[in-house]
Amino acid sequence: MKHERWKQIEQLYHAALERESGARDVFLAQACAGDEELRREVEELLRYDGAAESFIQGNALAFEAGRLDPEELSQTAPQLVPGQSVGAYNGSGGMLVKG
Amino acid sequence: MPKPNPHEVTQLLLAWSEGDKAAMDKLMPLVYGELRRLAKQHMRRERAGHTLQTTALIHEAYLRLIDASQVRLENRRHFFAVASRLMRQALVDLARERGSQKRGGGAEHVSLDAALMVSEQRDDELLALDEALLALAEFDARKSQVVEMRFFGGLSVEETAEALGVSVETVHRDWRLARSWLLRLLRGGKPDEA
Repeated sequence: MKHERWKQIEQLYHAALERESGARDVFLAQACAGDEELRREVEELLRYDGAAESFIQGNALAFEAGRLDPEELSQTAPQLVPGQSVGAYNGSGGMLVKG
Repeated sequence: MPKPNPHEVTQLLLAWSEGDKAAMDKLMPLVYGELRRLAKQHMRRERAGHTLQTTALIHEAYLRLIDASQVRLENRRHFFAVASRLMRQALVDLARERGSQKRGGGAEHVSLDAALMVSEQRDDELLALDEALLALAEFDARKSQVVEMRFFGGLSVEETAEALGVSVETVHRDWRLARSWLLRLLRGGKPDEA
């Protein structure tokens, strides 16, 4: 991505977040002044904003510790039964997202 | 592997902070080795991961590797910044090694085991995140670094701001946009499934 374009996206993204969600459409329509690609880009990122709140919220080491392979687990965690879920996995897709 | 000599590591850190670029090349493998060893040890000890703190681990590495009496606070921050990068590398390398072991090791008989499937998915996600961070760094290196320090280094917003020499507000904003951007890339344009 070009630096200038990214700076534009960044500025609009934060400016939109400062507004009530109902006022964002009007704001972006005005601010993008017909540049539909820019508007789409910012809107898409805004859609991910809520979901991203729980994304990579923990730390990498804790995340990784949840994925030890069964051999390692059997050495350290004899209470684990086959089929039992491990760690913070929430079974609904992204495991970097905290369940 | 024998523990690196704290005096040597400390001198390298000081030399690097004073502008000796070559010192970093010597410092990295020493710190990397120690972080990797500690990461494996910690992961074995605390399976579920709820109490694991990367900062604690990096701090432990710091105490083992550095003679704190000779190092000023800003050098400690340098160390944490470098350690975040090395921690990322160590965890990504470990995930890759496990992947190739499984592919070559005929683990089929346990492939229905939920734990193994979770394990493999985690490795894949970590590797995908690593690649996404590389893509982000191509046009915004600082945001990539913010994620590296926060997620891989376990640094707080304040510590990250200090290490990067920017305001706390900037880190908050970088962190927020970087996560949206990364998540969009990793989820392939489907926010509802994120």
